[in-house]
Amino acid sequence: MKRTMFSLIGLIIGVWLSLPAAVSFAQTRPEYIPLGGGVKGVLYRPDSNPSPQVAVIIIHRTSNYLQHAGCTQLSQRGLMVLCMNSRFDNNEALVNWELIALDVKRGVDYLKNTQKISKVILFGHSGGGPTTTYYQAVAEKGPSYCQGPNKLTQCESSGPNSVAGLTPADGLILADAHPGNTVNALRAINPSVREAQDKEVVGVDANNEPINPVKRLDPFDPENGFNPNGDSNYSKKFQQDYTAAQADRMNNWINQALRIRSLMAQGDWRFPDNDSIIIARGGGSQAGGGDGANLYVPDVDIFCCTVKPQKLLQNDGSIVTQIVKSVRLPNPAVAEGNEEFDGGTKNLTVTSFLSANAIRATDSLDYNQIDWCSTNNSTPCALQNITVPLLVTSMGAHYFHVDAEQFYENYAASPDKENIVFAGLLHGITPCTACAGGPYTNQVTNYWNYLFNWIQTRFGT
Amino acid sequence: MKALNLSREGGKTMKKRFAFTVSVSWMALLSLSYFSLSWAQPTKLTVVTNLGVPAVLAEPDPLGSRSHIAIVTMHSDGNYLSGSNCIPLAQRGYRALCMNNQFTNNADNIEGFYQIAPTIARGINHLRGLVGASGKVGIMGHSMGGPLMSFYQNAAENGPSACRGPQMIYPCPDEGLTNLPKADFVILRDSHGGWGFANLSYTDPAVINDNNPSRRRPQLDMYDPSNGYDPSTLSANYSDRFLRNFLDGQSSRYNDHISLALDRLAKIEADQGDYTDDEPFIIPRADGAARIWLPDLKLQERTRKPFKLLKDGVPPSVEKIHSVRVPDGRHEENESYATALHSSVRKFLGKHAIRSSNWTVSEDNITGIDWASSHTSTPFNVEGISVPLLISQHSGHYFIVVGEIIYDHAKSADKELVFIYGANHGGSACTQCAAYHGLPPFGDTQKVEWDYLHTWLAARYP
Repeated sequence: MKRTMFSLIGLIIGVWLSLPAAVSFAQTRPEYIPLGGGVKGVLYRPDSNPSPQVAVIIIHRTSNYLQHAGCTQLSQRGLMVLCMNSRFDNNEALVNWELIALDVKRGVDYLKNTQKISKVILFGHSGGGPTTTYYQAVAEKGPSYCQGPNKLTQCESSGPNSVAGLTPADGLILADAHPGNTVNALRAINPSVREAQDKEVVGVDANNEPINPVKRLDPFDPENGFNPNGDSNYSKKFQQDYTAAQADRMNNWINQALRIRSLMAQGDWRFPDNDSIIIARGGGSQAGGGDGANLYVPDVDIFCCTVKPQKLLQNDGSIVTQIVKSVRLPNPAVAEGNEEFDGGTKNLTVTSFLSANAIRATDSLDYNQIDWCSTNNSTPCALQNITVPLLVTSMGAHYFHVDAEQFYENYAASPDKENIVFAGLLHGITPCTACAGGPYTNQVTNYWNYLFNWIQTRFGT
Repeated sequence: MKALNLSREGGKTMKKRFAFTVSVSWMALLSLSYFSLSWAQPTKLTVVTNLGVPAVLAEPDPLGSRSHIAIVTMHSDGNYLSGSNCIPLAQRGYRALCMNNQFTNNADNIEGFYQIAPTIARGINHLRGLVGASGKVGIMGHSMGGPLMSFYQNAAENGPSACRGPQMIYPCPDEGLTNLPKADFVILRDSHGGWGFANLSYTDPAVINDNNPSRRRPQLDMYDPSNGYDPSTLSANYSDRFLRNFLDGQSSRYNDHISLALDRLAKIEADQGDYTDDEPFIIPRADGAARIWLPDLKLQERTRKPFKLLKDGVPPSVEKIHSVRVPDGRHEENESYATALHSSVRKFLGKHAIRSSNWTVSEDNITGIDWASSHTSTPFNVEGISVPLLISQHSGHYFIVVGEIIYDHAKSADKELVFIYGANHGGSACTQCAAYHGLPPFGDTQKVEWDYLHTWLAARYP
C-alpha cells in the first residue's frame, strides 16, 4: 500500500498531505456536526460569505473526509462545505452499501433544513463518486432504481432502512471518481489464485495451504510481461486471458457468497446473519484498494488514453482539447504487497462483499462486458438516472480519466454536463512531481478555482 | 432495553454500542449545559485539523484560572468527536482534547495499542503547546480507553520494555514507543481490565467445532436452563461446579487458540504461511458471546475492601462497594456472526490474547489471569505508572472488582479508587438498576463524576 504510487490509497495520503496547506487556510472555526446514526460531519462556514446560499457535501464510502482538502479550498472561496464520514468510515467490512444513501441524506437534510441552504452540490472524489451518484440516482428515481432481480443486493423502500423520499441535490461534481468499488475489486482481483486455495477454513481445524498461483495468469511473472524494475508490457493475448479470468474469479466468488446467503436464510449455515469472505490476492480491503493486481498499474500503456479528444486543463491555466494520455508512472511494487494478507487480501463479509465489492462481468476492462447495473455501487449505472448539472473532473497523472470519459460520453443523462482532465494531478488532487510534462505547481489552485467557477456560474454562492 | 445496552461493552459489542452511548451522553450534556448547570462556564468547541486524526478541543470561553490544566481523551475505536467526554471538563475550566485515531470504527484492525501511542503523543504535545511549560497535561480513558491510556503512560514512562516482559505473548515493537511525552496524571473511568481479558471472558466454551459452532457441549452451555440460566429474566444462578467447569472450558478454548495462533505465526515467519505477513484468524462465539457474570448477579458483586462511594446530593461514604447492575444474559446474541472474533494471527496475538489458568470469578475477586501476558491489561500497565492516578468506576455496571484489581496493581504513590453510585457504564444514572433493585433514583451521576474529577484535579493542581 505504502509503495503504491498509483493505487487509490494515494488519495488518502494526498488528503493528509494537504493538511498543512489546509490549516493555513483554515476557517475560523470548523464545527463538528453529529448527524446521528454514526454519521459524522464537520461544517466549514465561509468567512467571506456570512449568508451562503450554496453548500457542498464532500463524502466518501469509508475514507475520512472530515478534513478533505476541498473543505477548506471551497469554503475559502465563499461556499459552505459539509465534510462527512459515513457510518462505515474506516471499515470496509462494515459496509452495507444500500444504507449509505441514508447517510448522505442526513447531510442534505441538515443543510436544507437547519442551515437553510437553497442549493446543495454533491462532491464525489474517488469512492465518493459511487456514493454521491447512488444517492442522487435514488433521490431522482426513487427506490425502484436500486431494486430488481438483476441486483446482487437491493435497497429497501419501506421500514427504517427505506431510501424512499430522498431530497435530490442540485448539482454533482465527480473528482477522479471511480466507476464503482465493485469494479475496482473486479479489476484488482488476481485470477492466478487457484479456486481451492482461497476457500477459507478457520479455527483450530484449519488446514491452510500456501498459495501456488497459475503461471499463465500470474501478472507478476516476468515471462508474462511483468517488469519488476519499470514499466511492464503485457501482450494483448495475456491481457485478454487475464481480464476474462478476473471476471471468472469474481463470478465464482459471487456464486459462493450467494450460496452462503441462501443457506443462512434457510438456517443451514454456521451463522444466521453474516460470515467472513476472505479473498486472497483480491486487493486490500481498505479504502483505496491496497495492493491489487490491476494490469494497468505496472503497465501504463493499458488505460493510457481517452478514446476521443477531451478537455485538458494545463498548468498555465489554458484548456486544450485533445486525446489525453495519462502521465502516471508504473508501479511494480504492488507485486510484493499483493501476496500479503494486510495489503493484498479482501477481508470482508458476505454483506460487504455482495453489496460493495461484487459486480457481474465477463471481462474486467471492457465496458461492454460489465453488467453495470448488477450492483448499486456503480457510477455508470447511476449516471443514467441523474439529470442535474454534472461536472466530471479527473486527474491527468492517474487512470480514471478513461472512466471519466465513459461517464461523460456514454452514461451521463444530465443535459448540462462537462468533462475535463487536469494535467499532472495525482488521484489525491496533488501535483505529480516525478511525472513527465511538469511542473504542475499551479494545478491545485487551478482545480479548485475551476470547480468554484463552475458552481458559481450555475448556482451562485 | 437501551439502558441495558449501556451496561455492556467489550470487543465488537462494545464497539457497536458506543455510538449510542455517546449520543445519549451528548443529549444529556446538552440539556445539562443549557438548563441545569447554570454555574457551568461557557464552552467553545474547535475542530483541530493538524493532528493527523480528527479531534475536537473543548475549552472554557473565556479561558480561566483552571485552563493551564489540560486532558487528552480517546477510546480505542469509538468516535469521540461529539466532545461528550470533554465538554464537562471545559465547563469546569479545563482544556480537553477529544481525539479519534486511525482505528476509530474499526476495532478489528488494531494489532496493538502501540500503533495508537504516537497519535496520543501528538495530542499531548498539542495541549502542552497550549498550556505552556507551567501547565499540566493528563490523559483520561473511559471503558476500553482505560487499557489504552494506561498502556500509553506505561510506555511513556518505561519505553518499549514496558510491553516486552518475559510473559508477554506478543512483544511490542520499538516503533512509536520511544521518547513518548509523559502525561502528568492519568484518569480511568469505568475502565476495562484489558482487551485480552474482555475476549477471554466473552469466549463460549460450549463450542465444539469452530466451523460448526451450533454443535454445543450442553454441560458448558451458560444459556442452558438446566445449568441455572433463566431466559425469561436473562438471569442465572450458576452452581459452583458449573462455574468451575465453564471457566476451565473458557480458559482451555482460549489457550488452544493462542497455541494455534503462535503455531501459525511461526509458519508465517518461516515463509510457510498462506500469506507473507499474516493470516486471517476467526473464532466463532468469542466476542460478546458468553460472559458468565452477565446473567449471574452474585459474580463480581462487591469489592473486598472499602472505598469511597460518591452519591448525588449525599456526602461521600467509605464502604465496601456493591454493584447495583441488572441481569443481562442474552442468548440470541450468542449465535450472530457479530459475536465471532474476526481477526488475524498477529492481531489476535497482539490485542486479544491473554493467558489464564484455573481462573476464577467470585463475588469479590478474579484470579488466575496472567495480566502480564497482554500489553492491553490495565492491571499490568498501572504497575508501570508513577504519576497520580484516579480510577472512577461505576456501580451500575460490573467493573467493580476489576476496578479494585487495577487499584491494587497500581504503583503510583498518589492513587485513588472511587465509585459512582448507580452510574451505568456510560456514566449516566441506571434507571433500570434502580427499578430492578427497588432503589430510589440515583440522581445526576454524570455531575457527581465530573465534579469529583474537578475536585481531584483541584487538590493536586491548585
